[in-house]
Amino acid sequence: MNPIENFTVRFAHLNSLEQPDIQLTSQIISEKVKSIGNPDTLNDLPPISKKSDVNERYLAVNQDDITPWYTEYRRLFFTFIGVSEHDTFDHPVACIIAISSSNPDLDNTLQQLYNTSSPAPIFEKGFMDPNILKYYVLLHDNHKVTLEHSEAVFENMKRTYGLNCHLLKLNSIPLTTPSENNDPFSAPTSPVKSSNSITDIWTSYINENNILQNLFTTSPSTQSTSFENHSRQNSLTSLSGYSLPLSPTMSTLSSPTSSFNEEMIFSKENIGVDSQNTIGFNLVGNIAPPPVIYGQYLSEGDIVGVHTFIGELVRQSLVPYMERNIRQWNEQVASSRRGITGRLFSAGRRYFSTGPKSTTMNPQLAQSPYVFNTQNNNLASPTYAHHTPEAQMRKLADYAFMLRDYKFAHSVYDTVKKDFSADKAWKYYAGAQEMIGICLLMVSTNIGNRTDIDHYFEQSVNTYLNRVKAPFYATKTTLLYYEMLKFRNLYKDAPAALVRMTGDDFDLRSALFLEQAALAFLRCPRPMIRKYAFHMIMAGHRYGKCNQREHAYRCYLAASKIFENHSWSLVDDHIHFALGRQSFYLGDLDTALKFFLKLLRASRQPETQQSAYLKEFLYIYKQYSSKKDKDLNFEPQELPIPIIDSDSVRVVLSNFQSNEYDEIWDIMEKEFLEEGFTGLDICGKPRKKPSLLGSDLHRTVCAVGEPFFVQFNVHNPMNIQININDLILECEYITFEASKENSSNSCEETNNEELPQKNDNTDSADIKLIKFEAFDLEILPEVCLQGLEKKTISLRVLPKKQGTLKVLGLQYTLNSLVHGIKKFLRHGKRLNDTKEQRMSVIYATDRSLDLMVTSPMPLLEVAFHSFPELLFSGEVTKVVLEINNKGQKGLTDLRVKMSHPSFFCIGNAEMLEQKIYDNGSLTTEKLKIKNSIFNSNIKNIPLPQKECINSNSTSFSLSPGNTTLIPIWIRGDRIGKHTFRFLFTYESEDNNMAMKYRSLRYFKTTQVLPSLKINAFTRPSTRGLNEFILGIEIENLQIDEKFQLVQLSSISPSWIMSPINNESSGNADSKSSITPRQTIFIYYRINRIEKHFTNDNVVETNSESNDITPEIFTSNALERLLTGEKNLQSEPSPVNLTITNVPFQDHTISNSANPLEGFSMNSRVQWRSNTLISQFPFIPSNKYQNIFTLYNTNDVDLALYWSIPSSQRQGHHYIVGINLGVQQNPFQGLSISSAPNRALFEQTIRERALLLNSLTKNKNFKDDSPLKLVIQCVDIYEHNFELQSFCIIPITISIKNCSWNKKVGFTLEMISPDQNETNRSNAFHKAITPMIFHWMGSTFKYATLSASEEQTFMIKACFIRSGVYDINRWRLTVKYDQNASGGGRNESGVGMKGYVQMPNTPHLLTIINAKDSWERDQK
Amino acid sequence: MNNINIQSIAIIGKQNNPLYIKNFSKSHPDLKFHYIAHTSCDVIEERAGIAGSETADTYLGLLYVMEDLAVYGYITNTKVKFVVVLLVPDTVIKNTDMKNLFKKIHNVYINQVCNPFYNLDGKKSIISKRFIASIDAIGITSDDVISP
Repeated sequence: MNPIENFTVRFAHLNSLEQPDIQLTSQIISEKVKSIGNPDTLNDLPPISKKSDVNERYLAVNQDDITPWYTEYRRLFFTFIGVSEHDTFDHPVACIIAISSSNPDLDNTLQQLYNTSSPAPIFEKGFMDPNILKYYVLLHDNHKVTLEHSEAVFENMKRTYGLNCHLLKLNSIPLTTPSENNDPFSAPTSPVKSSNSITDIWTSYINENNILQNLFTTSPSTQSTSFENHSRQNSLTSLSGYSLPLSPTMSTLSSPTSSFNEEMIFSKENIGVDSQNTIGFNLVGNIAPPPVIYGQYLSEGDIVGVHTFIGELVRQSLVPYMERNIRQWNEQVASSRRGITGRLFSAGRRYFSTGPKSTTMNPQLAQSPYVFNTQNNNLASPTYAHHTPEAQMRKLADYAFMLRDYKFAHSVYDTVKKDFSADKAWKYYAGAQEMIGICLLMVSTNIGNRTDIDHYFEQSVNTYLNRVKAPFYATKTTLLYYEMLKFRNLYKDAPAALVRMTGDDFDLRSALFLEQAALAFLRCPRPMIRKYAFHMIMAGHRYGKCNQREHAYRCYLAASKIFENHSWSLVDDHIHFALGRQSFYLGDLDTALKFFLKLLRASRQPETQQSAYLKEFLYIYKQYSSKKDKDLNFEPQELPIPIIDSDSVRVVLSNFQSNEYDEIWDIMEKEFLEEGFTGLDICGKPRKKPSLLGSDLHRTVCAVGEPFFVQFNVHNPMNIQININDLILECEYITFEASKENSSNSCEETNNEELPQKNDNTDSADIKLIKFEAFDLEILPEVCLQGLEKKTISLRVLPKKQGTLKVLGLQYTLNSLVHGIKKFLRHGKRLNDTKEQRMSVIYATDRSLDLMVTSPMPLLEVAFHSFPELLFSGEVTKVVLEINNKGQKGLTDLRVKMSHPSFFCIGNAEMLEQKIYDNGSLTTEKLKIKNSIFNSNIKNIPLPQKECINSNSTSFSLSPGNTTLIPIWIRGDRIGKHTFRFLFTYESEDNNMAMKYRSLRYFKTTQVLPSLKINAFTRPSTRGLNEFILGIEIENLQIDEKFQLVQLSSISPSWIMSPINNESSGNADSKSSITPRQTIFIYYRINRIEKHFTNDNVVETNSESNDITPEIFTSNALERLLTGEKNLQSEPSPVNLTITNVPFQDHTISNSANPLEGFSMNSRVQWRSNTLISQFPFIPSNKYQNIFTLYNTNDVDLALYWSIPSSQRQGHHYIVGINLGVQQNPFQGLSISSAPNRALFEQTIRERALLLNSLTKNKNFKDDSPLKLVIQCVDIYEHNFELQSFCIIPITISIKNCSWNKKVGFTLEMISPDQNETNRSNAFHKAITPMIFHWMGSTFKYATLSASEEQTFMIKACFIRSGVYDINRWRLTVKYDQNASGGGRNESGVGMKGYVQMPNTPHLLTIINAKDSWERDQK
Repeated sequence: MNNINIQSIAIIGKQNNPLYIKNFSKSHPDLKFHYIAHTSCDVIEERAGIAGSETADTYLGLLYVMEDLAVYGYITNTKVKFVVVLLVPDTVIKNTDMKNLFKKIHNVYINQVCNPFYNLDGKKSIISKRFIASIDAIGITSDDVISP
């Protein structure tokens, strides 16, 4: 036989072989497991969160070191394994009978110690062979007897018992200080003082044994204690009691691995160095309580002696004994079994001798080959007595296994397994299966078929579990298997084996196994971290079930690392909940809260789950806060609920009007900035343009004493209702100086923030304000958020000091309990300037919540009274605007920018009572106005004059708290639904540098209904040169309203209007009222204002020197624009307007009074700008007022006044833009060549060319012939053809050059009707038989006319018959004068074509034969 | 096909994030299938890894059995994983049946991916109603077959 290395023996007391109570042991184990915390080795390793974390460093750590609690569990488990009938590993192989040499009656005592007739109770069960090797040890202790005596006794013994004897020397007294006291109970002075360190080697074992024993004392089976007493009694006389002699049963479950050794640590020792410990332990183990600690003072020699003793025992007695037995059993039982006869025998035995199996139920019948174990209550499972062949076979195999003949052991197990199976001895069968598996694992160096091995173990475990109902042994099998696998590095198979044993019966075991399985997944060739995580969670669950909270927490925590940030939200929630709970149970409230906070979020959990989370969280928080109550300043936390949308946070100033069309307001504000600061302000000082309205350096500015609101959206992500209470903003105040210094270098901040120094809560109008030094904050008592609800909350802040006010965040209390805080995190716009900024996402710092508090400002509040909701088109009503200054300072320079300027006219405070349509008496009014297109968008609003201290400067302002009323007239200018926007701007009396202007937005909506539809048309009058007939078609669009026309007025610089015939005023009523859906026509004559009058005017204006006509102004301006002159700042001369009023009824409406004048101006400006935009798209609109004039000389505007008597409505319509002049391009400029060609940039040249092109070839202006011709003669002429056959009638032809600047040459050809009769296609001429007449004299006329020149000449026509003649027969060829002396202003003329004018209306002349008429008269 | 009793269908993204997990079982909680789906990632990775560079079959077969549940796996070429959990049947399940089932799921997923507004790399779960309805249809039809 090969030498066996590391052969280990185990010593146990014969009476403690029985398996201890499982319940008790498991309790001990769980206590022990609980006490072991995280090992230090684990702290060095990073937590496993991804596959790469399972690195070599991790794998280098022994798994036992990672989970020391498992190691301890395993150790204790095998400690308490006890003896069982189905395997013999715990059966004693040999028995040591020890006796003190001081014993007087040695032989008798020895006889008593091992009395075969009354063996130890363990043998009574029958499955254990009492006939084992006996080994006699004589103990010599110096403090009792002398060595000589002992040796003598030993010699004596040797003779009696042969080889199996040994003299063992011990020393219980210090060598140096011989004890004076021989009393064995006297304690040695101090054993620890002993110089010999080895003396203390087994105290640790003794201690542990004591602990275990103490734990067992609670057990009802007090066998050990009674036994102890017994031994104590005996110890007086000798060391030998009834069975005090330690009969170390030994099981030599030897294995080549050290790790495997450790499982059997309970008194299983190496033969070598440590053996004395074991012995010592066994010697003194049960008698530890006696004060004399035996063997406490061993000398080196003694220890060597112990070594030799064990060596001799094993070498000379034990192994030979075992080998003998193996041989014997092999020959007697096993070989016969292997043969055919053996099989037959066994079969025969099975069939023929079943008697005892079924009949003998009594365990006392030890003689019977089969013994039933009634204690197990497992009647189905037989127990073999120790001398049955099956039991011997098993013992044989076990011995072979111990002596490491695994192949042989395997074959024996395999053989006996079949017998067990046939006998339905399931426990034996399972044991055999288990051993086969172990043998296979032990024997093969290269394991090929692992599934086979796994199969054996699986069968074994299943049999234990299901047939034998012995989970203890199943656990043992699994542990062994797992350890074997670990040893062989077969981690892949381990989880399956471990998970098999994770039933519900023992939570701790399941938890430990699951954890081991999880760790095994990590040590697979391909680490499976997810399986690891899953098993860790299951382990955590089991730990939690068996109250191992710390272990549960650790498992969940380890698993959470895997799931972290992988959006497995449901799993995350589960883990966090478990972690929160466990840490709560562990008393770590901080951590518990931390985990519960993670649960309060949007999740797919059902409502009930979420509310459970919240409830538990609140409960824990309550505990937490009550604990922390002592120190008040525990920090409020950032809570995950509610979600505050930081992007939605904004500051709303008190003068801010919120609405959805922000863009339009922005545009209006920008336009206001562009337009509003060009002119002079009220005091005549030029306005300075601020950088942006109401803002300085992009900071929001607010004034002291004016509350502002912070608005933000709150969102509840959960499905359940939550309440937020006591919402208050967190603000920080920095004084002005500090913030200024701050810009240069970071300086200390005067931080007056928070610290709820609640001076007093003022309840003013439902708003609770908390007062601080520099500001007051509103506190909102409660906001209730339903599941998934979004709410906008606005909180008031009242700044009280100048400086900087930063809104930092929000403080609140969740469900009246949890004090939470939310910081407002906003970022500015994304930066895109540098490359780094473009490469990454960098945001500018946001300053929108960083407010600048300035000195007190006025604060405007406006209200419109009696604002109409419905208007007829053209209707005018009065609206009263109430202006209220709610601020702290006087308000001045109030202006308003309107989106619909043509609708409104703003009056003075004095005009409140004024009627809209004032009665006037004048039929013609004169008005001199500035002829420039003013910007009608922005209007000043007159404020009451204020008595100032320095009286020289009159200031108009509204002092704080005052109100003023301003009339505003609104006219329905356009049909449709309108939203009128008013952008009021104003400034403070004091010059506030930080905030020059403030603005207020206001809007109103009105619907304008159609009323009258008016068309006007003009045609040249035949009565005179340059005279027109005006026709107006008026249609009533209303269904049930009757309109009454009141007056028609014309407004023009150079034209007046008159009714065509005076008698029309006679039946004025019928003419001037329009019933619904009716149309009427009215006609007027329009004349130029008489020459002399104009001359007067000229004389008047001459004194004012260079008064130029609007046309000249425009032309010059365009020229300058084209040449690129920058200086366009000239203004057109004022224009004199003549207003002609033609009333339909008696009273006249004065047109020059304010509301009407304002309206007419407004609509004029509006119309003019609009037409200019379409006519000159290339000229920017801001240049209009420097280029174009409001009125051209020949412009006529009409105003038609009406009223609806039934509903007291009145209004008027404008017909704007009738031009009675000759159509002419306003650009009458230089030749193209003279335009400067040099320009720095090509683009400028191109732009200029485009501009020039657009001006010269403007499609909107087709130049008309400037000449107007009128033929005048008598209408009816009587001629007596009998007296004279030719009737010659002089006809006056007047030709006028209506152009304002052009000198024109023309050729007039008088055409006889016969000549071009054929050409005529005019239907009129075809219908009337052409009457032929002839022109007399020269029919050609050539002349030139300078601008506005009129020429009249006579021509004679000759008629030969009476009749009606169309004398309007001529052709006018017009050519611009080539060599005009018009100041070089004429175009070069190369491309200039002339015009050919032909008459288009007949001028009829009736020639009556005078004789006929005379005759008729006669009759 | 009628021995397939679907308990859960899970779609897992390429970063092993859950895209959609549907529980068709009446006895097991959602959480269990989340764990199963997550754990299957390990096995799927292992299987797909073994198949290696060669044109591996997208169908991975039975991944593992847990208690009374059998877990089947399927991986698309874009590393999107489908996991179907079945009750362990009495009769043998044909691989072709399972393949067809996965093909159906794949088609539904392809339809979802074809939506130009769907963020392929997003970690959010799929909320498309049509997708959910289609998956439900797959899960429920097989359930109906088994119930009578």
